[in-house]
This record gives sequence, C-alpha cells and structure tokens, in this order.
Amino acid sequence: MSPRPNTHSEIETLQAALAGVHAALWGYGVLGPRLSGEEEERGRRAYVRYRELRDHLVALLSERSVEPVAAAAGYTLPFPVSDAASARRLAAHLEAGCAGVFADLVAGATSAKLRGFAASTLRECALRHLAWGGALSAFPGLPRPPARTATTPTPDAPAR
Amino acid sequence: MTVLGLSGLAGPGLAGCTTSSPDATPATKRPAAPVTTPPPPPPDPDLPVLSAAVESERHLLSLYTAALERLPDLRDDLEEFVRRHEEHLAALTALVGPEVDATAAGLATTAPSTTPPSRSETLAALVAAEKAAVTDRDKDLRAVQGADHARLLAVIGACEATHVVALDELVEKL
Repeated sequence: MSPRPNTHSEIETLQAALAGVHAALWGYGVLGPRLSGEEEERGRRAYVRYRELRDHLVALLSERSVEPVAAAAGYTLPFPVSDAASARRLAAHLEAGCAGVFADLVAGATSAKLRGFAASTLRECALRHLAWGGALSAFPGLPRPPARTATTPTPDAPAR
Repeated sequence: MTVLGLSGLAGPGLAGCTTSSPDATPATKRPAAPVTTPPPPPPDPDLPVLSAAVESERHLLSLYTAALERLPDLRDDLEEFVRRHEEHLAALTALVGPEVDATAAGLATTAPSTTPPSRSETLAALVAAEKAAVTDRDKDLRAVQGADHARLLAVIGACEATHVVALDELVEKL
C-alpha cells in the first residue's frame, strides 16, 4: 500500500483522534461510577484502553515533532448522566464519536502501519458501541452514507 | 468548555472526494492541441480492489437471500443486515460503476452459494461469511491507495465486524 496525499493531513487527523480520546477518557470517568457489575468492568476496560490509545497517539505525534493536543479543561455532556441507562448511552455516544475520528485517521494516514492501527481502532470503537447498546450502522463513524455524494467526477473516480 | 461531540472531522462525502494526486491533472485542462479527442484519464489504480469489494458484497447478499428463502421466519432479524450490505454495495458501486464483475476485476468467480440445511448451520454460514469479509477488507486496506477509498473500506469492515457479533447473539437467542 502506498497511500496517496489527501485533504486530511496525517497530523491533523492524529490530533483530532487524540482530542477524541481525551474526551472519551473524561466521559468514561463520568459514566463509570453509574455502572455496576459486568458493565462497570467493561467501562473500566474501555477506560484503560483509551489511556493506552492516548499514550500511543501522543508518542506518534511526538515522533513527528508535533506538540500533542492537550485535554480540554472541561467538557459538556450531551445529556444528563444520572443512572446506568444514561451512562450506557453516553458510552455509546463516545464510541460513535471515536469511530469517526479513527475513520478520519484511516484517510489521513500516510503509512500502512498507521492506516492499519486506525482501522483496527475504528473497529474496536464500533464493537464497543454495539456492546453499549448502540444501533448497528452500515458505516460506523461516518455522519452519513457516502453513496449519495459519489457522483462528483474526480481523477480517482471518473464519472460513469 | 468543549462540547463532548465527537463526530469525525467535517468533510465532504467519502466516495467522490478523494484528493487528486499531483500527476492526475485532467487532460481537459491541458493547452489546446490539434487533437479533437482528449486521451482518456488513466484507470483508477484502486479499481481492482474496489471491484473485489463489490463482488464480496454481492456474494454476502446472495448468502442472505438464500438464508431468507430457507428461513423466512427470520426475515425481521436478517433484513437489516441485508439493508446494510445493500448500502455498502451502493457506495462501492458508485465508485466503480455497475458493470464490474469478478472476472473483470481479475478475481476468481464466486462459487454458487449453497445454503446449509439447518437453521443453526445457515446462521453459522452467515457468521463465517461476515468474518471472511472482515479479513478481506483488511487485505483491501493494505492494497488500496486512495485515502477516501481506504476510509470507506475500513468503515465497511467495521460494520461487518459488528455483524459477526450481532449474528452470534442472534444464534444464542434462537
């Protein structure tokens, strides 16, 4: 694989992925105490995984002599999280968002190794989204189906 | 405060926005020359990979169709899987055109689908096919060049991975 240059720069999408992971870590910190039993453990595992991802993304950016984006001072919850049901909903929301930033990183990657990492992490997010009760999606991480916008002629995909 | 909206980077739709490479300037923008018909653009190097993915989706759909014929009582459970694969097929076909076939893509022709007789075997065959599709999308990702093509294939692979889990859950439920 020899990825071609693209509109989403590798650095830009790495930073966006890191920003998403920061938010996910914060979110799992909020929702974790609302869970119990097996779900609490699943939330803990996800939190640990996101810490690993944060450290990996920080290392990737540092290798590229780029200052990694810091976590925000605070985040606004998309809805109140007061019980296990809303905690599960927030977890699914976080995973859907992170699927999006890692899908973008697939496009931004300029090496096969980084592309593979991004794709496998996207898949992880989609599977956790499902485990938290999120709906199945034909295109996890995409805000809308791509087929409707596929008619623009480009050098890569000539109009037919 | 940062809103905890983690949607991916705003950008144009996937399929039609792959960035041009420096050497892919459309022929129509070249200086006028005494040639009335411009040369055709070079073929998309991703066409074989995308065409193989089209065939993979068609194969999956044929398996689901056969399963639904054999197990009509599972229609409500399986129709959504079919719909998602149809969406994959539509997105991929928009890139390669509708006339691609396995032979044109340099692939072995897909064997006719055979549906195992029992309910559990039928569902197990679907699980196996979805797993194989996930593996195929991984291979596609290693071969494809276009950034947006890669993202589409990765997203489809992620969906197929969730299908494996969801079908396993369906098997347990039955």
